[in-house]
Amino acid sequence: MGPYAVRRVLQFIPVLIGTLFLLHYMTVLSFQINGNPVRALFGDRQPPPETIAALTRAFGLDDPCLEQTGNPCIGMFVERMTGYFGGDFGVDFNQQPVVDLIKRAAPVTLRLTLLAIVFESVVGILAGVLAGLRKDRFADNFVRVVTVLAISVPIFVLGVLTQIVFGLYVGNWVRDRGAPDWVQAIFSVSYQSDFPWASLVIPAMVLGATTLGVVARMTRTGLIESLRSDYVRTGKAKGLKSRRIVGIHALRNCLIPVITLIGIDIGTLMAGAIVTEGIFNIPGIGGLVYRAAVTGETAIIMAVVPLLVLVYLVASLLVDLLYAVLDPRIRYG
Amino acid sequence: MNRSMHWLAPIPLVLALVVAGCSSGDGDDPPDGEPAAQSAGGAFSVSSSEPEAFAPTSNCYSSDCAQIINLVWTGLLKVDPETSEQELQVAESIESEDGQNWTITLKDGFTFHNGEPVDAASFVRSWNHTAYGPNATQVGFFLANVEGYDDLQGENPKAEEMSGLTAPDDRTIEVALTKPFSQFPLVLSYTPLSAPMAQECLDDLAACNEQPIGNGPYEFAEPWAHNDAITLSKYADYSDDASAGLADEIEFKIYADLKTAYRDFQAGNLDIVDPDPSQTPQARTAYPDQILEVDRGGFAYFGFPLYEEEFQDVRIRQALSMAIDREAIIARVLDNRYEAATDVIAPFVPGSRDDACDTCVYDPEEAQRLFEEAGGIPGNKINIWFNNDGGHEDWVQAMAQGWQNDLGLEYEFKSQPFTPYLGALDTRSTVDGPFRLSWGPDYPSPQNYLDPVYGSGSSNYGDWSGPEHDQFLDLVAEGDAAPTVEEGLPSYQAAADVVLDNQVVIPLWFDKTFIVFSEKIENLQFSPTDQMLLTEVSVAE
Repeated sequence: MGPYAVRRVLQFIPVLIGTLFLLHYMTVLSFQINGNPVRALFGDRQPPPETIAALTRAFGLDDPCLEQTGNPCIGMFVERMTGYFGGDFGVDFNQQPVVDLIKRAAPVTLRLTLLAIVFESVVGILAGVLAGLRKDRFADNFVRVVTVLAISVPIFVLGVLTQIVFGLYVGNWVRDRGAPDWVQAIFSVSYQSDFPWASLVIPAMVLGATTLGVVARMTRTGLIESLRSDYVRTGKAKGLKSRRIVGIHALRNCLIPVITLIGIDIGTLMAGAIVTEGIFNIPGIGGLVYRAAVTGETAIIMAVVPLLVLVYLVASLLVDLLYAVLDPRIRYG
Repeated sequence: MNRSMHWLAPIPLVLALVVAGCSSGDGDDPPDGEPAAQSAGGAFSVSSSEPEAFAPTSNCYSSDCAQIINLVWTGLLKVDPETSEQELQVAESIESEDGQNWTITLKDGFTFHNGEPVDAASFVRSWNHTAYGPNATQVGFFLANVEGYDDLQGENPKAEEMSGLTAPDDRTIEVALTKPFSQFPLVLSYTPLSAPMAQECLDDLAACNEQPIGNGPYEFAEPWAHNDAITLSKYADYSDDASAGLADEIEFKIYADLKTAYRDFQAGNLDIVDPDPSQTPQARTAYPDQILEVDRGGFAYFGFPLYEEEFQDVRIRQALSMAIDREAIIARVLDNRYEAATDVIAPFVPGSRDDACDTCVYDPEEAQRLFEEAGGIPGNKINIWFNNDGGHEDWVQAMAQGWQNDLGLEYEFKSQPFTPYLGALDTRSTVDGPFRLSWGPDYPSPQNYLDPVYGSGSSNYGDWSGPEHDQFLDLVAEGDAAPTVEEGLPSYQAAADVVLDNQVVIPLWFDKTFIVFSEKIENLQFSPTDQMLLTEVSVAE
């Protein structure tokens, strides 16, 4: 397993450099085609050219190659990479170091992702098992209806609805009755930095809802299939307890695709929480990337996106390694 | 089969938690004391976007940071939003014989939050830093008419201090301008530009940005919690009673999305909020008596590419202006958040008139007559230019349909994101039809609505030129050279008339604030150049 993992980690390097270069080229092209984003800072007022020039220099966007459409600006790329190796990720348009921005946003997003993953895997797998064991009965039908809803309702609708119902109506009801602060924080409209976990519970449920639906359905189908298989019949014939048959033998086998899904979801949640973070005013990575994409803040995009790529890579490596644990037939040499 | 009911199990648990919490609410009622005059004290919270920057203050060129800077710093003077009169703050007097050489005398007693005195040197230090090119501050160009400003520009400037800015003693600042400019005190009323800077702040700007050292009535109670909150508390040693604040504490809660801020207001977590336009109707019904709607100063207009032949006949431009039913668009598309334009100078500015623009009145017959008289537009089709990331589609559509109905004019939208849109305008040749823009004031002077918009080195994207333009420039220069602000007004009004008579732009409307506040907020006022006057807000018990 060791050499395999090392080989995989080494493969990260070309992927990351490739990503960085693609990003660099895209941001350079965007500058060349759309024009200097510094100009838009002033809105409709046209500032004197020397102000634009001074700001452009301050943001490191004064390379002459940015005037030549199509030029990949290799020199700038090398300069940037040298800076990155020295720990210098540049500054945003408010002159804040990008490293500081990431340091502030990442813990929040990590907490949100963790809560969402726990929610979708625990509740999702439990619901799937329950439905699988009671196929076509009430519990099964209930799980199937709820999961279809969770998968099909767009996240911004679900988010706003949850915010109004739980944050506003239930929240106001709870506040009127003087519930303890942490309960009020759970039912709040927006993220509260005094309650970094409690106020993320409901956003995490919204964020994890879609994957939860898929996890529950996959677990259910997989379980139903395994329960019909020969080894389960053998187990039953040998007189194993049904808890052991379901928990150890049937479930473990049908979890492989579910684990893959959840693993990939870590990356998606880190980057794709833009909508949820926006609705609940959570100062995380999603909002940072969104803002940077809108205002054209190259320095932020160039630093955060490779970070997200790295998260994807690590998560998929962990998933691959977990396969070996779940399925004894898989070995890595 | 009662086991299928197990999924309901968590619900009683939640209820139990809620019920258990019921008892802890009461008990901390404030003691009944004598009501203080103008009820000083108390705390309130305000919604905000993430501010841009605090140190140097000259990196702030937007309303969110300016709102906070106005509390944490006290500038030389302010302008009263109702009377338009100048109220001196740190300045004891601002005087000039000729409008070109200004002497500013400072009051005694102001100190920075770290104890440093607010003296002439603290202003000179701040303004030189602002003007110094390599510092790349955002509002530095406002000082461009100070003698010696040019020497501080470029990558390797010749000088570090403006020759026209001196401090003969601790309480006197002398400013020499390159030419007379009667509105100079009004430029200085923009606090982010004119705020003084403590030496400790200049020594470590990064630290000062996180925990600003100002000289204002409020100080940062704790460092800036980015994307979360900024809490200001009263500065105990503030010396000026006239500009001191009433509330003990003001908290700015930072939201990335205005819609969430309004919902937080509904949930009782916020006292003053600026809702998203989509929430305006709901807020009007829910809080009819708790809304502040006053002039915000923003001027929306459509410019003409005067370099294009089909727009060179003034009758065409007048016809297009008269074929817009401003009142109807404001009422039906814009939720009554605007006020139809009657001048190119916003209502709150001294010298603004409510009948200056004859062609701002909807008159389809006259519009049609002028349009036909001028021979119409070749091909009977125009391109309408605007940016598509600012929520302008709906009203531009309404306006264009008006042109289609009244003038039989076909149209095509040329919309794009803001950055490339500005790039296209900057070329002064790409844009081949009316283009949308708006103007926000920096200081409450008619000059600020004229020279930067139609002057030569400015947002004159339509390339207005010729004898009328020269006449306009002369009139503005005449106003600038007047000894006082008031005496300059007739010249500025005449300059505005030149713009209107030639229909250089289509004036559309001026925007209004839409601020919703909770029941405990009293005396909330707004000034277009200073934002909300939060020092004057008192908190009801």
